[in-house]
Amino acid sequence: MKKHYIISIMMISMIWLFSCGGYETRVINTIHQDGSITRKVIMKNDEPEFLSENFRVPVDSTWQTTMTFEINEDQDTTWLYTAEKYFADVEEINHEYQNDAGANAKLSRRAKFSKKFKWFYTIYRFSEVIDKVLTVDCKPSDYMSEEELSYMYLPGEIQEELKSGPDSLYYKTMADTLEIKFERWLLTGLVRQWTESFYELFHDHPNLDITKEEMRKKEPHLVERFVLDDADEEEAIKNVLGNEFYENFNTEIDSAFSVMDEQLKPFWEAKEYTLEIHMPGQIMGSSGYVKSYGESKDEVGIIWAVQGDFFLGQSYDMWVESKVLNYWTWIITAIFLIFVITGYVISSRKSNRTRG
Amino acid sequence: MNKKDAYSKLVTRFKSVVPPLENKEQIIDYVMNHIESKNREPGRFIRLLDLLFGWVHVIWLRRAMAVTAICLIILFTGQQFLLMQRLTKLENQIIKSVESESVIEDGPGMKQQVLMNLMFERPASGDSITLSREEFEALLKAYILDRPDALSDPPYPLEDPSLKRFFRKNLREQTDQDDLKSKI
Repeated sequence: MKKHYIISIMMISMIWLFSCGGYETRVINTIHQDGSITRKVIMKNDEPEFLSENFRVPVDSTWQTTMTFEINEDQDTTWLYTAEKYFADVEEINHEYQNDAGANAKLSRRAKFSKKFKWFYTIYRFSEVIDKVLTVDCKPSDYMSEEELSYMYLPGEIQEELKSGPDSLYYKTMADTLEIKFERWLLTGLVRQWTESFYELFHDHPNLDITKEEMRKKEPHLVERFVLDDADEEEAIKNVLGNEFYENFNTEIDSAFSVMDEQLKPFWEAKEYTLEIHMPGQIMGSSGYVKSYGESKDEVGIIWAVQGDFFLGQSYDMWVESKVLNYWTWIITAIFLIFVITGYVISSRKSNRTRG
Repeated sequence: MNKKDAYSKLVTRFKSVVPPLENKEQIIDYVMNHIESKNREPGRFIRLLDLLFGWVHVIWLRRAMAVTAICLIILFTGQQFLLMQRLTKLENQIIKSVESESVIEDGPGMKQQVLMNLMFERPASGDSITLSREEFEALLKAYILDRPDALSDPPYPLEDPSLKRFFRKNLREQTDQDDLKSKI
């Protein structure tokens, strides 16, 4: 049996992180009214070498690229690789996602665009969705409060700012609590996924005398043992399900772990990046965070941090809605209202005159 | 009683009975408009007005126009109200203003932090083995070199700047703790 699955995964996860270039990546989508998108990817590295297999989002030879460098106060050089491409519609982006061979190729990602005519305004909606990795139901909202989740979804830079800001104590405490809750949620998700894999593979095993429902009832105990036994699966299973179960299903348990390992690869191997979306017109709603920039601060983008943690138990929907005024409908409405009011005024005047 | 008296009585009786009018307003409007249009001089402006606002004399059309106007006002007010609500919510999501399109430097996610905690902060009972940063790096390097799919020229393990910072911070925090300081 695979002992210390978590620790093994941690090692593999870390090695995966180390072996790939640490490209800090920012993806900027500028959405146009006709549904076309100008996509810009900015990558930052300590070396002037950018390997396509380490790219967080698909970038290929069809993109216009430039490389520049910055030297900071400590005389450290940082290389910036900027790639830009115009997409006629979201389907072209989705096509690139499907053929992605980069660091996040295992993620199931897609972009959506829609526009709705609402008379006074036209509502534009753009979203990028990353499908959840777990095949079982294990929502983070069942374990963490709304406020904690909002904090978790914040980009790391902002989290650090909050932790060193005026409410530092509050946010530090929240971060600590969140870590504990996150650990509990993560382990529950792993145990639930393992149970699912185990019963999918061996539900008709002749010696299996414990039902899936009974196993699900033991889930909190397994999670508890995982925490207490230093993420040692062997000890946890022996403690909760008994030595006999472990001895009888040693190989099956191992197989279920292997299947789960394969299923969770997109989560463990996910490489983080920042997504930013600029919309036409005025932004009126979003699941991200508003960021204003430019000298006049009137340019507004919406940003999200993209990390494996966010799409383990539920799909990560990065959506933004904006409105564009339909000037012609405003003019038509104004003319119509004036017309109706005038009609009524004329009518009432006539009535008064005739009665008088 | 002669015929004349009978006729007078009938007329008086008819006069005393007022027939009920269901569309009194409409009849008055119609008669008055008819009289007015006969009396006034026909002009281009009047004709245009009649053409434009003739609908005010048609009750169902007048009502339809009023309902449409009210609906438009309600739609406008409703949309503005919803918009205000959504914008107020959005204002709470404003995080910062920056001057340039710089790349945001992210730290490692919760996943890495939890895994690191499992590795560093929860030694098994009775186990006094702890890892220093150098030892951990050496371990990872050895692990990479030992893998069958290891790269011919493996990169330095801690080349990721965000992870470098994370390790540095994590180890610094631990070395600040007296009980761990002696171990490390």
